[in-house]
Amino acid sequence: MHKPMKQSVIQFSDVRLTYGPSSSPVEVLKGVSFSLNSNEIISIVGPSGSGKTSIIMLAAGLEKATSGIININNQNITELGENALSAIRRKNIGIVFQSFYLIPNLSALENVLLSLEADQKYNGDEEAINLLTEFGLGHRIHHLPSELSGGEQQRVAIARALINKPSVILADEPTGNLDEATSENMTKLLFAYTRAQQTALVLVTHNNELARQCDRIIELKDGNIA
Amino acid sequence: MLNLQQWAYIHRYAIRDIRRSYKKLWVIALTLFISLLLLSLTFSVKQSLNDEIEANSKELLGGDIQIDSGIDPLSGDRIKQLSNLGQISETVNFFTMLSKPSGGAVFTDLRAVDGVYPLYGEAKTMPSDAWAAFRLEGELPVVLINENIQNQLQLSVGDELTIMSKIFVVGGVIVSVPDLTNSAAFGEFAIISKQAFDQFELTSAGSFLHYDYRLKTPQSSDYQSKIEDAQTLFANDENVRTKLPKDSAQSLGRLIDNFSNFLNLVAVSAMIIAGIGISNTLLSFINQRNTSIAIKKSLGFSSKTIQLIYFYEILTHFYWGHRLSHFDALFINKKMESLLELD
Repeated sequence: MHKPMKQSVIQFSDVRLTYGPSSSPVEVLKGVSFSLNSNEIISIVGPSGSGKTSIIMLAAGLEKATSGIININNQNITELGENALSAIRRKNIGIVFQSFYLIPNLSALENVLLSLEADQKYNGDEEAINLLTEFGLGHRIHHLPSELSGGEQQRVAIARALINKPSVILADEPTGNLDEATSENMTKLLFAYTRAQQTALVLVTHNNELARQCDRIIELKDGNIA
Repeated sequence: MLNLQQWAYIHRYAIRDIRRSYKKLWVIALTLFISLLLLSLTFSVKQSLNDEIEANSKELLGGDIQIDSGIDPLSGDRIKQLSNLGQISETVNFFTMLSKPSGGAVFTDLRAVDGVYPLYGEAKTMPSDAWAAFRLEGELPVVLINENIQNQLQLSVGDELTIMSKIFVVGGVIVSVPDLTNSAAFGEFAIISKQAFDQFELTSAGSFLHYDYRLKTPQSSDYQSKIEDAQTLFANDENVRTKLPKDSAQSLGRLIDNFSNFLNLVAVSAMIIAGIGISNTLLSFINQRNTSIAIKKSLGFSSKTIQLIYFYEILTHFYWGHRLSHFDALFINKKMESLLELD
């Protein structure tokens, strides 16, 4: 019996990231290599400043690596231009930030619809309403972010990341601004939906308990995988 | 290339954003509105004044052509030749003292006008029948004075005034005369009849005399050829200068132009100041949207779409700012016209 081939969604090969002038460079990542398969959930842990968020930014194409190769769905994104990177993001990647980053003058529904609108899908209202209802926000769809609690805002942010059915979700400390109970519910929701949609998940966290629930843990220390 | 659906989305998004951010955007809208209003107002007032001058240029000159012969009157032959082209009005201007027998004198620009003056428009006086009475001439010759002379010498209708030792009676106060540009608008002036001027031989004013003739061509005649004929008559006479209505309009127009240039300068200065304000406000407009822009980038919106959304918003502000200020300027201009009773 054949095991189904697991496709690599993200692949980092000897990725380096350096900031600052060449005379006194700050090396954030010093040759990081790892890969993430589809439907796999990994956590990236490590102390502050170890380069966790930089990995998220590089994988999303929001930052350029100093050297090395980053493949997203087997496509090397390190050589791509701005427009191609935008296309990679809207087709393959969903991002969840610690600070939610919802657009303040758009309602919960409109924030979720943004992901579809980025991909020129302008008739996704029903789909977005269904997803928000599944997330327990059916009664909040027309509320502005300022009218939602932190947990509700993060659920909207997760719905926004998932609605386009990306191949990978990049979550940068998604529960960092939430209390313990809300945080646990949020994690369950995130895990359940990424599993259901067969989406890979990269979870950056400080929470060891949360990290242990993932399929794999990558620990960063001083810009290297420990 | 963006398709129609994308343009519709950009429009929808931008309008929604403006509608929901109006509290933050009213400063931009107001700054834009005021500066554009000022500029539109300046241009529209200037245009309106110039149109008015153009329409009344013959009244401003007092004829279809003015012939200025300086200190000497035109010869009888020349006057005869001119009268073949239309109706002629003769005026003599000179400066002299107007004195009150009981004491007090004013240095005045005195104008002696003939019976057909003014050829265009009408002279307005107080009392209103003073002009008609001035024409009739009674026992004593009549002088019409301006309001300043009346105030300075404390004169009333019927009082006596001495001009070059001849007694005149005050017939009324001049409110306006049509050929305003040719009168001493900023000094004292008075009008007597040419008949009294000749009768009392006031020509002794000598080199201070200034003779002007105005021609009104018959309505049915070929205006242009008559004017050319009149100009040809004096083409070789170095002491005679001719002036057409457009020259008169231009000289007043230059005054208006200077005034409107000043207004333009004020408007442009306001625009520069407002421009700095606008650029700062636009910068803050973009800065306020930095987070929204970053979120859109992270969701995969193309840079072009994001730029177009905000460019569209800014253009919408400019469009409505311009429309509103332009129409408001026209409205204010109309109001000003009615307040100033310009026809």
